[in-house]
Amino acid sequence: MNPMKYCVAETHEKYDFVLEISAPFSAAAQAENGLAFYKRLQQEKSVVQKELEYIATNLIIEINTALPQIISIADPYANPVTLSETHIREFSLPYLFQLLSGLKTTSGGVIHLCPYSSFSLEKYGFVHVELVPFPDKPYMSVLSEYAQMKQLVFIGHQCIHTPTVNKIFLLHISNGVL
Amino acid sequence: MTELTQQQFFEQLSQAVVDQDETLAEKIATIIVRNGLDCAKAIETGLGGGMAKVGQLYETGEYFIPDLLVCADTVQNAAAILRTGLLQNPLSKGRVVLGTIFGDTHDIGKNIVALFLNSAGYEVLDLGKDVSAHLFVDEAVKWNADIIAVSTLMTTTMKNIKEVIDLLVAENKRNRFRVMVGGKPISHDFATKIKADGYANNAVQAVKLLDDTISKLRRNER
Ligand code: B12
Repeated sequence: MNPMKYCVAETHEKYDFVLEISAPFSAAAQAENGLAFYKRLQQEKSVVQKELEYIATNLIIEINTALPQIISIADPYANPVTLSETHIREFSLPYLFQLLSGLKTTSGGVIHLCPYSSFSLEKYGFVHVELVPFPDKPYMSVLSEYAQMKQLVFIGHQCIHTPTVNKIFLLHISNGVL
Repeated sequence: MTELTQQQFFEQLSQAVVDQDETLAEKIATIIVRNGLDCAKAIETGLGGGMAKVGQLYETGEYFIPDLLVCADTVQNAAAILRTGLLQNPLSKGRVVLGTIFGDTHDIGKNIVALFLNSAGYEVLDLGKDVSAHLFVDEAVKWNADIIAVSTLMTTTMKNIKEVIDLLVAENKRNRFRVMVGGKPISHDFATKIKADGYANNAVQAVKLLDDTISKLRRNER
């Protein structure tokens, strides 16, 4: 079974310059039967955590070599409906954070995070958020503008499917959290 | 062995289920069988009682899906041991054909419902996800089911559930099965609107719903 296969899901249904990626936790859940994986959180905590670290490490290498313009990251299996906050803090956020901190680029690009994940990252101090307001614009064109900048930008707190926005939430990675 | 120690074993069994301690539950189940204690009662009050407490913990937000899965496994493994000590095969409470409606591939909730129904003594034929109306009806007929249970998680596929009911009506089979519906976007109102027979908002309530429905069915049959 190759969890990496599940990380790079597909290009966005409407915009082919957006690559949709599963965060390490959801990639692992999809590689295994989702429920069997959930059960292992209770029974094989340290084994699962090693697997997640492995996925994050390899995902960093793959993204750093390919680096598309906009990467949209979601972690749908790590959601507050199925998991407790403790599960999310132990199994999802640290590996998502490991992934984000490992991404390096010299050519800009945007990493877009699903709001479920970005709010949790903020809540537990993995990122801090800067709000930038502006008049109404299509969200995708705002993301494309940010993707042209020289440095890699992290954006979250709004669903990537939102048609029009009047603000953007920049995420700044906190140092020394892990 | 006195009645009290038997009761104590059942309580320990129940606690092992709540504590997600598969090994201990299997050990206690083995002792119960070896000592010729009442295995049927052990399943009902020990395992059933434990799962009921687990259900409460889930409803109050203390337990989550990973907890439920391990508890359900604990029940199923211990039940397999206890069944070897039963004088006669336990009666199935009823037969349920279950699946996620076509167009929808979400199956976590449906699988939890299957586990709970199984643990509560129902026979469940799980048709999986993305199941057509025809498959629901054909399998229910073939398997002589009492209940057809349909799950969906998306507002966009809710309307597909009605096709199961329409097909039953078209094939003159509506009275043969009770149709239960569930999943995040479903409500009592929706269930009534599509003329389903029942709705429950979680796996614990699903067992209660089926218990009520089946006991009414059996009463009417008599
Ligand atoms: C996990 C998840 C996924 C996983 C599913 C994994 C799996 N194997 O199931 C993945 C990542 C694969 C996924 C995919 C998609 N998803 Co999704 N997903 C979720 C999420 C986050 C949680 C669902 C869940 O598992 N809940 C936990 C379980 C335990 O709860 P439950 O299912 O409600 O079940 C309980 C009760 O309802 C009841 N019950 C359930 N069934 C039945 C049946 C009966 C008879 C009874 C009595 C009771 C009963 O008992 C259960 C246990 O207590 C929800 C968001 C949310 N908050 O619900 C979105 C959500 C359901 N997904 C959504 C969407 C849009 C999708 C996708 C289309 C996304 C995409 N663009 O590809 C695809 C679906 C493709 C398809 N055609 O099916 C939307 C649906 C929106 C809508 N239209 O209604 C949601 C609501 C997210 C959102 N806010 O937008 N998803």
